[in-house]
Amino acid sequence: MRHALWILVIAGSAVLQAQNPNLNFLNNEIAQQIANMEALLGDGPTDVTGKMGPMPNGGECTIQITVASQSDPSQYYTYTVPTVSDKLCKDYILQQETDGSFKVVPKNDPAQSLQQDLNNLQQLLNFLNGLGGQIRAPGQTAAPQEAPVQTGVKPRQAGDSGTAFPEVLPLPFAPPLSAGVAVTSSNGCNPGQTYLYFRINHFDNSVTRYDGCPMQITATIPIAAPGPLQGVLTPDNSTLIVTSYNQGITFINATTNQVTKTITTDPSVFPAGIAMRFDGAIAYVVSLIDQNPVVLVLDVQNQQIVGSIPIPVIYPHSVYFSPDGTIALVTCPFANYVYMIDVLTSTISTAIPIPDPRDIAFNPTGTQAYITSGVYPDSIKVVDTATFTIVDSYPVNGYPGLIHISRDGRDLTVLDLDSTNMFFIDLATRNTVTISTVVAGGGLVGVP
Amino acid sequence: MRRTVLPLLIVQGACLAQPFIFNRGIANSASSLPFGIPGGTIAQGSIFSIYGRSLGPATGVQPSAFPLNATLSGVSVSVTDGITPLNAYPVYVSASQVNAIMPSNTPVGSVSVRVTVNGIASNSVPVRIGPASLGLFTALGTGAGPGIIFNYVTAAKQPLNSLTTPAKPGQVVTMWGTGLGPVAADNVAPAGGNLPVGIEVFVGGKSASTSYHGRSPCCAGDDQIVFQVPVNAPTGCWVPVNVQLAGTAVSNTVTMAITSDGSSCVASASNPAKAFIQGGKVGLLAPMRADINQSAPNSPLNLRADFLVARFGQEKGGPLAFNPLVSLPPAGTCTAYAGQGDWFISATLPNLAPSVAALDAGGGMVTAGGKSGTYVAAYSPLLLGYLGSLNPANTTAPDTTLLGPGIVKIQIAGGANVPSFNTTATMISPLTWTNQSQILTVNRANDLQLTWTGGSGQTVAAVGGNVDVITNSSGIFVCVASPGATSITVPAPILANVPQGRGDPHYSKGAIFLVGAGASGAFSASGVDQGFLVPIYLTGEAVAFQ
Repeated sequence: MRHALWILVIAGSAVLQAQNPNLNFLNNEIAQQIANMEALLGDGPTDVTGKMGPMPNGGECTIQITVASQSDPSQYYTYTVPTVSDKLCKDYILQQETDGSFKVVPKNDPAQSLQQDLNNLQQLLNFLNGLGGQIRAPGQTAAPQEAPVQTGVKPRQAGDSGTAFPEVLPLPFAPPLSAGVAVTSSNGCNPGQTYLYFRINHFDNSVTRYDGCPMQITATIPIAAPGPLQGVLTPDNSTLIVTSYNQGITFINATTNQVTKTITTDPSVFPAGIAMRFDGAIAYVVSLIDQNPVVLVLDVQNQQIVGSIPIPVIYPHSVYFSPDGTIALVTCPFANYVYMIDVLTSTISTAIPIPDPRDIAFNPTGTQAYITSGVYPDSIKVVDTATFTIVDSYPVNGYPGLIHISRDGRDLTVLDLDSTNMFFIDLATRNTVTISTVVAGGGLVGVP
Repeated sequence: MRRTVLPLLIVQGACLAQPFIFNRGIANSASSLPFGIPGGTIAQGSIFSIYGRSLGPATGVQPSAFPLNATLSGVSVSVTDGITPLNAYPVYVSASQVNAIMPSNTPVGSVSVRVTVNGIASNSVPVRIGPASLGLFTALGTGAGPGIIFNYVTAAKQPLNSLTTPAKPGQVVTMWGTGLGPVAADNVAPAGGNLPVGIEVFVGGKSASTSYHGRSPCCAGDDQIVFQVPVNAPTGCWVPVNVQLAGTAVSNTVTMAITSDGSSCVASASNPAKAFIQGGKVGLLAPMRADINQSAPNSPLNLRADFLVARFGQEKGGPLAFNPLVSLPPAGTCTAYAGQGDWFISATLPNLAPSVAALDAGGGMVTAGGKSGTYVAAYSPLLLGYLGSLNPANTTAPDTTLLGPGIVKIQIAGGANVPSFNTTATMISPLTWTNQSQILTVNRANDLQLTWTGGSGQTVAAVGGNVDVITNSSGIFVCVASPGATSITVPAPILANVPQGRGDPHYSKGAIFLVGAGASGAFSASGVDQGFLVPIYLTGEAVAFQ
C-alpha cells in the first residue's frame, strides 16, 4: 500500500491575515490610543467618536477614533488605524460599549461548526486534488521531501473533482498531453493514502488535527501563547511550529500531539508569518509590527531563536523560502514592497515594489515568484527571481489572496478574499477559470 | 486647531541598490556550471563570473599590470561566509559581467558574494566554495563544445585545436581551465608549478598522461594542463575531454578533434554533422517513436508517443562548429552536458539552437499505418511535433499512435522560410533493452552498463540524465555504441555531473533512453541547402540517480 502524505496547515483566523484580525490586540490598541489622546487633552471631559469604513478614495478599510474636549470641541485628536483589508469592514463593525469605549466585533459569530469546517476542508481538498494540486502550508514552499501525490493529468473544468489519475511525469519524449483514468477514489480522497492536516485556531488558542479519509478530527492541541496564527511542518512531518501573535512560538510533536516547547519572544516581537527551508534546518518568523520589525531565525532542531534580521519597513507580513532555500521573500503590504533575504548571511539583499503583496508561490524551479497583489486588474505579479523584476502579470476578477502553484508549475490556484471564488489559471494558455463551488469561508484562511 | 495623531505610515524608501547580481548568476568562468551541479562549486583561487546589471562601467575594463587590486574601475567584490569578509580580485568589470578571482583563503562551504560599485553595494548571492573544482574553457564560451586546447607542434607553433587543426594520437596538448586550487598569492603573476591536487584527464574515456597541471605563468587564476593524447584515443571531430580531480569532482566536458594523421576532420556525406560543419541552411526530419516506462514511486505507467522532430536552421559552420544534436562523441564513447534550466521541459542545452537563425517551415502532417497525425508547430524540447500517443492505463482515450515499422509519409506545411514539401521515410524496428528493468536506480559513483538486442544496422545511443528541479539544474550524458555492439558502458566520470535525485519525480526527474537511429536519408526542399531524414525509435525508463 502506498502512502502519500498530504499536508495542510490552516490558520483558522489570523491577525491582519485579511479575513480575521486579532481582535484582542486591535481593541487593546484602540483603548490605549483613546487613553493617550485623553491624556493629551488634559483632565477635562471628552467626547469619543469612532467610525470604520473604506477610506474616502475607495481604499482599504480604516478605523478612525476621535477624542475631543467637551469644553472646546476644536481641541481634538484623531487616531487612524491602518487596517489590513476591506474584509475587516465587511465582516466586522466598530461598536461603542456602554462605557463609551470602542471595540471591533464580528458582525456575526465567526466560529463555524467543526462539521462545517470539515466539509469545507474536504470540499476544498477534493477540488485541489482534482486539479492535481498539492496543498501546502501558508508561507511554505513545496518541499522536496514531500511524498508524491497520486494525482495526475488535470481535468480542466470547474467542479471536476473527486478523481485521481496515474500521473504522466514531465519526462522528455513523454506525451505532452494525455487523458487519465480514474483509480481508487472515494470522494476525492484515497483510503490507501495518509492525510494529515492541522488547523490553527486563532480565537481558540488551539490547533486542530485532521487525519484520515474522510477526514476526522483526531486531536485538539491547546496553545499556551495566545493568538496562534500560522504554522509549518518540518519536512519529516515530525514537528509542527506555530506562531502566536502574543509573543509565542510553539513546537508540537506531530506524533504525540504534545507541545514540546514554547518560546516566549521579546515583548517587541509579534510572531506572525512563518516558513521553513526545504531541509528543515531553519525557519523564519516574521514579527508583524510597525516598531522595529524583524524576521526571526529559528534553529528548528534545537528549537531556539538564533538570529534576527531587521526589516526596514513597517508590518512585514509573511515569509517564503525559494525551493532551493537560498533566498526568502518577505511581504510588506503596508509598505508595498517585497523584500529579499539572503538566507546564507541572514541579511536583506534587495527589495522590489509590489502594491499590497499578499501571498507568494514559487514555481518548482524557483525561477519565478507569483505574488498576489492588491491592485486591479493585474493582480498576480510574476517576478523573475534572477533579475528580481516584474516580468508578467495575470488579471483576475476579484481580490486575490492566497495563492498556490501546482507541483508541475503549470497552474495557479488563487483564493478570492472577497467571495467564495477560486481562480484556476493555466499559466501556458493564460486561461482563467473561476470556480464558485468551494465554500471557503473564514475557516479556511491559510489554504493556499 | 486641528491636531491629528496618525500612526507612522511613512514608507521608508527601499534602498534599491543600483548594482544587482542575478540570482544564481555566479559560476566558474570556464564551465558555467550552475550551483545545483556537483561541478558547480567555485574553487579557491579560481576565476568566477558574476552576471547582473549595473555591475560596473558600460565598457569593459581589465587591469593592466600586477599586482591586482581589490578595486578595479570603482568595482570591488566582497565574499563572506557571514563571519569573515574577504575581497576578490576583479580581472574584468563591465555593466553586465564581472570576472574575479576567488581568494585562495576563502573558507570552504557556502559564501555570499556582493559587488560594490563606487560605494553602492549590490544584493548578495550565495555560491559554494571548494578547494578545487575545475572548469575547462571552451571556444564558444558556453562550457560545452571545443575546448581551449592548443596542439603542441613546436614551442613557437601551437595552434588551437579545431576541426581543421586536429591533434594526433600521442601528441602533446595544452588545455586551459580554472579551478585547480588555491595558491599563495592570487594577485601577482603566478609562480607556476604543479598544484597539489590529483588529476586524471580522460580523452574519449581513455586516461591521458599529464606533465603539468598548475597556474599558467602569464595569468592569475588561469590553469593549464599539459597532457599527451592517448595513443589509443578514439578519433573524431568531437572527442570528449574531461578532468577528474582527486576525490569525485569532475570538470565540464569539452571536445577536441583528433585524427590519425592530424588532417582536417571530415564527417561522412550522409552524416548531418557534415552540413553543420559546412554551414548553410540545414533541415532535419526525424519521425520518432518513444516508449517510456515510468515506475516507482509513482504508479507504473507505460506510455507510447510519436513525434516528428522538425528542425530547420541556418548554421554558421567553420572549424569550431558544434551542436549537441549532431556533434556526437565517437562510437564507443560518451560525453556529458550540464547547465542551468530544466532541460526536460525546454531543451536549453548549450549551442543547441541554430548558430545563425532558425528557419520557419510551419507545421506538418505525418501519415503512417493508415493514420495521420498533425502538428501546428514543433515544441520544445528539441522541436518535437507531437503526433499521437497511447496510454494503456486510460481505457477511454483512443490509440493515436501511428509510427509502426514501415513507410512514413511526411508533409511539411511550409512557413516563412521553407515552403511546403513532401517526403517519405522508413520507420525502424525497436531495440530490446535487455537490462531495462534492472536500471531503476543509478549509482553515479559506478560505471553504468546498458545492454540490448536487435538494432542491426542502426546507430545505437544511450541518452540519460536528471533535472534537479529546485535548483533549476540539468545534467545529461550521451553515449554512442560501437557498430554491432550490444552493450555500452557509461563511465562514472561522465555521470559525475548528473545531479543527484531527490526521491520525488517532481523535484528531480531522472530518465535514461536507449536510442536506435536508422540510416540517414536525404530530402530536398526549397530554402534548405541540405536535408536529412533519420528515423528514431527510443525506449525510456524513469530512473533515480543516487
